[in-house]
Amino acid sequence: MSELLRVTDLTKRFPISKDAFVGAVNGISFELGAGETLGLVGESGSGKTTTGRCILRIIEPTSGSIIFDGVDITTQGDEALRRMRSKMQLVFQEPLASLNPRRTVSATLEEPLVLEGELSKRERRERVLETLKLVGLDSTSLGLYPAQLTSSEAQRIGVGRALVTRPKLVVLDEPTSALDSTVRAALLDVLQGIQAELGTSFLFISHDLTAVRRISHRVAIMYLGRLVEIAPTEELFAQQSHPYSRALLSAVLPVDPRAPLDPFVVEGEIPSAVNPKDECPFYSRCPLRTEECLEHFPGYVDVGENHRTACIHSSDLASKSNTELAAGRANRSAGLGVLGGA
Amino acid sequence: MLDADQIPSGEDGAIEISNRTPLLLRLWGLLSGFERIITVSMFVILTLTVIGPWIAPKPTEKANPRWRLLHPSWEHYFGTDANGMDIFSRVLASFRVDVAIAVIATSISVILGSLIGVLIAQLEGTRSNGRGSRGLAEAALRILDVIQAFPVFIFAMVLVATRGTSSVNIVAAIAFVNLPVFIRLVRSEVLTLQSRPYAEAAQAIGNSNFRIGYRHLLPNAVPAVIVQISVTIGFAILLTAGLSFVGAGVSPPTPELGAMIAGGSRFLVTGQWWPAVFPGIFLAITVFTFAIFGETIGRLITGGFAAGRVTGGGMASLDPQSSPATGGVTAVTNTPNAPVAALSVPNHALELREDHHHPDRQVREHPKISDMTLLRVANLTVQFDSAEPDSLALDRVSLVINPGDRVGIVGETGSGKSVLVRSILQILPENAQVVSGDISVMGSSLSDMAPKDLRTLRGKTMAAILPNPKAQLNPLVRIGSIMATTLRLHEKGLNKEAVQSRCRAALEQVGISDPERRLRQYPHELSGGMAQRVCIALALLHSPKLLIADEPTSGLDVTVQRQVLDLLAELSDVQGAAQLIVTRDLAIVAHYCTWMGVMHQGRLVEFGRTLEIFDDPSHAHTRELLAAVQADVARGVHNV
Repeated sequence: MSELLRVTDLTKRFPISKDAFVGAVNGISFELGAGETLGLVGESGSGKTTTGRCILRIIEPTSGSIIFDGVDITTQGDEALRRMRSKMQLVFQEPLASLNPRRTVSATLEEPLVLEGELSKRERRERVLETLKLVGLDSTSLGLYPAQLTSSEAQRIGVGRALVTRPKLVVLDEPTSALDSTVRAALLDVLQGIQAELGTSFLFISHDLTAVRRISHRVAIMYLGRLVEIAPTEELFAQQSHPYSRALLSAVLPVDPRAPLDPFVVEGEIPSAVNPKDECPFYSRCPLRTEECLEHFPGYVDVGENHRTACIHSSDLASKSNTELAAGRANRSAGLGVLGGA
Repeated sequence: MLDADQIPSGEDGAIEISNRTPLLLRLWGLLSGFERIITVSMFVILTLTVIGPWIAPKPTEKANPRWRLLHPSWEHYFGTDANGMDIFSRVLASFRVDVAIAVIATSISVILGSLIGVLIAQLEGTRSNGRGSRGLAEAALRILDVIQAFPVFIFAMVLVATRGTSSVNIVAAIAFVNLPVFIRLVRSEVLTLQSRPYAEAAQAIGNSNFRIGYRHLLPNAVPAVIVQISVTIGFAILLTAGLSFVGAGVSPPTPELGAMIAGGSRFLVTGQWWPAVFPGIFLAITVFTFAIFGETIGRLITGGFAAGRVTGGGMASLDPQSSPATGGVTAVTNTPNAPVAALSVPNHALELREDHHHPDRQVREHPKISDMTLLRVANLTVQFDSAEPDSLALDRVSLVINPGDRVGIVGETGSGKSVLVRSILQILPENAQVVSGDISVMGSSLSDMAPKDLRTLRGKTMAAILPNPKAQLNPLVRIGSIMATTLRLHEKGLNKEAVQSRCRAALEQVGISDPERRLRQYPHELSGGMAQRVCIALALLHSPKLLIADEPTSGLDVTVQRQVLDLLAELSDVQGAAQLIVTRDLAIVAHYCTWMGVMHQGRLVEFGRTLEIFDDPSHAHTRELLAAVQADVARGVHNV
């Protein structure tokens, strides 16, 4: 698999006052192969959406490099960047809101081709029809306005708009979160079909682990602006090497009512991203934390092929079951209680 | 919008209606009586603008000293002026001058204003713009400030006085003074639209900044501009007349309302009122008509006209204060119910009959109705006013909840589950009608309950947890104060200490470790999970017997979601309160509810023990829902 995208040390800070900033994305690096899907997982506030926007330079990254198809897009001028947009596209979370209410489906789908300026009017029309078929719709929807579409159809148009120029990379930002479960599955099928046919690379940003597992070849997990673990999908779902990954996956409810619930649920919530310190971001909620974790952000350790994690206790984690982790958490709280009393 | 989307059949309905009736007729139907009068008046004014001078019965610019200042009569309806000209004829003819000048001038301001407004907004916008372009926009805005700081009228006078009183100059002057109005309007509209996802989408596909502004955002700013156009034309007419009145505008003998009033005003003192009063009345009517017509169009664009499409518009504006969780007291939409027939027959059997794919279905166990029954919904049918007659938001829904039951209702967007919750809480929007059926809580029917008793019921007997916890807490009030207000709502005469300790205890109960600090905080200082805990604590203040939770974990992160659900389950075990959890997530129901129901297109298509339904779903839609999530299970997703 040849490399299409390499992100190195990507950082995005949003200043909020003279000496405070939100560290939305904090030095993350990963690569994406041609025809590959990388799932980018994290909870709200983890920086996954900002990452997606930075990669397409819809938001200007603060630092870091983004090599797309051999070109560092962080150094491109506006005009050159606009020309590159037909090769890297974005699909949005809100299917209806991301379509211009005053444009028909046909106008929406054709516009990227007009901007690209490479096809004749007839070719554009053919491409639009071809794309509609690709996303599972037919030409009857061409004359419709967004208000006349269901959210499932609208999201298919959103995908179609991103794919009409046959881009090499599509960033999908929570494309399924606004959809009901029955239509969500259908959209994932559409995406997989497209990848098989066109060889498009996807960066699939989502907090929906079910969807991520279904569509991704590899999964990267983000927490508080940091990438904490990245691994091939099945390997990650079988064996997590970062306590946060473990916590995230164990919190997912099985649909089978008889399946036992995983006892390991971390307490508390994601902390504030204002002026992040150089330490392990998960420290405040981690059952395995030690003093050492506060010294600096732990570097990445390889725990398998293509499997990296940013935890110094990963081997310790591997030896513990979720029940033990949950018990350890309880002991810790009890221990603190005794300490407080003394 | 999200809630509005949940109302079934809205969009389809609108399309169908629009195909049947002509647009103009449909618009006419949406107008109130007063608005119809204004519309007719508008039509007359515009017609007179075109044909006024041609239908004038007398010459309009020919002086005739013999007929000087004649009283109104059948010969001269409005009398004659100092030059012996027929005032009625001149009034008819004057529309062409006044309205035409105003319309042309306003059109110029609209076109230039839109172009400049978009330009400024796009220079100003935060999307990848340098400091230079923002400085340029800033400078342009300051120039506008200076123009607008001048009194408009004097400014126009000076313009006309220095450049002469030709009609071109008058048009130019009026266009110029109105220009800032449209620049500012379009700029602010476009700035707002810049944050819409479709603006970002336009950028992502490679549109240039200005193309986004002119091709994508400007068309969406048009509704606001249209409203302003009519108002501005009215104002421009007044300005034209004003300029002419002081002699800086159209000069006699051209028939023009302002000049006519000026000419006639000096005779008022000598008793000849008609030369000034008749043009004055028509000027007032014209300006008034344009102003109100603008508002009418605005109402059609933003409200009524769209309502056909967004059937449940009222749902979105559901006042958070009206929920028992925040202890608000609001008017209750409580439509008198039709007499309920066959109350004792649960209609699940009827619904099951529809399913032909499952020959060996058995009649499921249902909760038993007894004296202890907490909530009973019987054959409830609810419809929205604007929807198609045959589409129901709720269609004969029956439900029984006994003490200690944990009941889950699942359904997709538009299945009617939110309408069910709001029906039970009696907080349906104004446009919802309870067609038939009844809801009773602990044996007493809600429909014939006095508003006062209903308020006691909500909060004390049943309480609700609604989605989006942060939006439900008044941002200006501390948590402690919100809780105290809610507590005192139903328990009067508690002293300060008692209230404090009760609130503390309530927060501790939901797992908040430092209640003292939380009580002093404002809602915005809380995280989503913490805010949801506070909302749960609020709902539990009066130890309700039934807790209704509508999507209690939507918008919360997975790890927090589990914490909240575990908390709810624990509370139910400890306090023995019944719970009704409404969600679109089957997994929540699978683990946290003993009974479950499936809603589809306003109907409760299946109801029974959770395990039984998961093992043996009988309705096609239940199977469809299960299949959608089990496809993922097959891949082992949940066995991590």
